[in-house]
Amino acid sequence: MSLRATRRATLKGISRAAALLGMSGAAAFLVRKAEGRVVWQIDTARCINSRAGEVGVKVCDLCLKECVVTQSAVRAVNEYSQCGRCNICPAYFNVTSAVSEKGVPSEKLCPRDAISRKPIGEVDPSDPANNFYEYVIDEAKCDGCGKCVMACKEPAGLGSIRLVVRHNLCVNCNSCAISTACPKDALTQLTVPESISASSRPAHSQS
Amino acid sequence: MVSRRILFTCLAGAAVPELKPAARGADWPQFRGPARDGVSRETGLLRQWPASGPKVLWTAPVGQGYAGAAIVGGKVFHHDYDETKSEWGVYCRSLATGKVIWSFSESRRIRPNHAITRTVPAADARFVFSIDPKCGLHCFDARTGKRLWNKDLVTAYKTPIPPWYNGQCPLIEPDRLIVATGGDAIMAALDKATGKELWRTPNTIKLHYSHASVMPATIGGVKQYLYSTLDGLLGVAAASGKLLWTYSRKFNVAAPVSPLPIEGDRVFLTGPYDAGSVMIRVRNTGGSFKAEPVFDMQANEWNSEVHTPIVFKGHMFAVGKKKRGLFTCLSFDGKTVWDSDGKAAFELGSFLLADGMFFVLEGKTGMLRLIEANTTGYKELAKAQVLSGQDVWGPMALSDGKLVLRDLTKMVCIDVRGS
Repeated sequence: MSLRATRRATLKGISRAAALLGMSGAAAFLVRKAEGRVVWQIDTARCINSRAGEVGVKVCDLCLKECVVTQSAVRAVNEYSQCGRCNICPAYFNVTSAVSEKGVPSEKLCPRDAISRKPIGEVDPSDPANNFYEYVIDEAKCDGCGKCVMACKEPAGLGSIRLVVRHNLCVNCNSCAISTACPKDALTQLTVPESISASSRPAHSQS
Repeated sequence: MVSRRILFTCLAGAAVPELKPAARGADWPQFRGPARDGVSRETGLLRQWPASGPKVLWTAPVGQGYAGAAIVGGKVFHHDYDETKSEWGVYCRSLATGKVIWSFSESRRIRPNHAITRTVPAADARFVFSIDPKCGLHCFDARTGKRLWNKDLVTAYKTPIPPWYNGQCPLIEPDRLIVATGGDAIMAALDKATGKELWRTPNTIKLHYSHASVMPATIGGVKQYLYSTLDGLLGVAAASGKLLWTYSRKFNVAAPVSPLPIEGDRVFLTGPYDAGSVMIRVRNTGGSFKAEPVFDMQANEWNSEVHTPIVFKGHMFAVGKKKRGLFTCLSFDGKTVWDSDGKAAFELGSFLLADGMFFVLEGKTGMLRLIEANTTGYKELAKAQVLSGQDVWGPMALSDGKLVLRDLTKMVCIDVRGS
C-alpha cells in the first residue's frame, strides 16, 4: 500500500467520523428538544460579574450589548434568602457618591433606577443605620447591564444578585450572540420540561 | 441583594516599626496589642507545628460576631451577645483554661446585622474598657467585673450608631482613655477611674464617625492621636486635644481600617468599597501642621478591606482585596514586593506578627497559616485547621505562647509555644 493511499484512507476515516459525530450531535439535540425545551441560561459560576474569585475587575455588560432583543433578554434577580438587607447596599447605592444628610450615599447605582427598597422587620428610629430593607428589581426597567451584580459580590456584598436569561423575552437563537461574545463561556444550553419553560419566571427568582 | 459585611474588626497600627527584644508572657492589652501595632513581643514560638496542629487548650461558644480578645495578667477579656436573652456582655476568662472568672451582662436589644459583636476591650491591671455595639462606653473593675462607670456616647456626644454597629476599640494609655466620638466632638480623653472628660476635640467641620480606632503616633516631634473618618484623616494633640491637621480624602460607606503611622512622619490609610489607599506626609513647621499626599492608590490598585497593615522591616504587610485576599508585602511607596498569589487566599482573615512570623487566618475556612516575616517572598512555615469558619475575621491575641482566635461562633485558644 502506498503512502498516498494510506493518507487518503485516513482522511476518509476522519471525514466519516466527523460526519457521524455531527449526526449524533444533531440527533442528541433533537432528542433533548423532544424531551423539553432547549433554552439558554447563564452559569453564575462562570459569569464574571458574579463568580467567585473575580474581584477588582470591571463590570461586564455584554449581556446588555450583545443580545439581539431590545433591552436584552437578560435580567438581574435578587435571591432574597441570600440578601443581607443592609441599609447601605452597594448594589442600590453608588457608594462612591457623596454622603447625604441621612448618612447614606447620595446617588443610586442603577442607571435605569430599576431597584427600589422598603424597610422590613423591626424598624428602630433610634438606630436607623441598622434597619433592614427589601430590595426589589423592576424587570421592566432592568436591562441586564450587570452593575448591581458586580457590586453585590463579596467581600462588599453577599452575592445574592445574579443575571438570568428570561425565557419569555429570549428568542432562543441557535447561535446566541451573548454566548458568542461571552469571554467566560457562561451561556449554556439547558433542556427544561415544557411545563417549566412555559413559565416566564424561574421559581428561584425574587418573590 | 447586597449587603456589606465590613465588619469592622478594625486593626490599625502604631509607630513601632520593628520588633523589640521580647518578653515571654507579654500582655496583649488591647486591639492590635501593647503598642497597637499588631506585633507581639513574645519569643520562643514554634516554627513548625505537628501534623495535627498546635495543641488546643480550650474552646468556648460565643454569640455571632467578630469580637477579639484582650489579654492581661493571664486573663482573657472579650465581648459577647446572647441572642436568646437579648443581653450584651463582657467576659473574663482564664487564659490557661478558658474558665469564666467573671462576666457582666445587661439587657440590650441589638438586631443582628452581619453579626453583632465586633470590637476588642482595652484593659490594664485595674480596668477593662468596652464600647458596646450601640456606642455605650463601659468601665469595669478588672478583678471583679463590677461596672465602675458608663457613658452613652450617643447621649454625651451625639455619636451616630453606625451601620453594622460600633467598630471602634478604645485606646488605653497609662493615664487616660481615648475614644473617637463623632457627633459634637470628634475625639475625647477620659479619666480612667471616673470617666470624667479631660479634653474634647470639637467636631466643627462635621467629620463623619467611622468604624476605625484611634491610633497613637509621634509626628513632627509631637505626640498625637490619629483617626480616620469617612472624610479623611486627622491628628489631635495628645496633650490638649487640639486638632492639629486634617487631610481630606473620601472613603466610601465605611472606614474600618485605622491609620497606620509610618516612619518619616507619614501615615498610610486604606479602605473598602473601591476607596483605594493613600499615603500622606505631615509636616510640622513651627507648630503649624500640614498634611500632603505622597501617593494615592485608586480602586483596583491595592487596598485592604478591613484590617490595618503591620509594619515590619521598612515594609507594610496585610491581606489585600484582590484574588480573594492575598497576603501582601508592600514597600512604603505602595509597590507590591510579594504576595501569596497561587499559594493562599485569606478573604477577610486577620493577622498578627510575633517572633519573626506572621499568623494569618483564612477568613472563610479557619485555616491558620504561619508565614515567615521577610521582605523577599512568601514562605509558609506551617498551617493548621484551627477553626471551621465561617467568617473568621476577628483579630487574634497572643500572650504567654497562647493564641486566642475565633470564628463567627467559637473562640479557641491554642498553644503556639509548645511549652
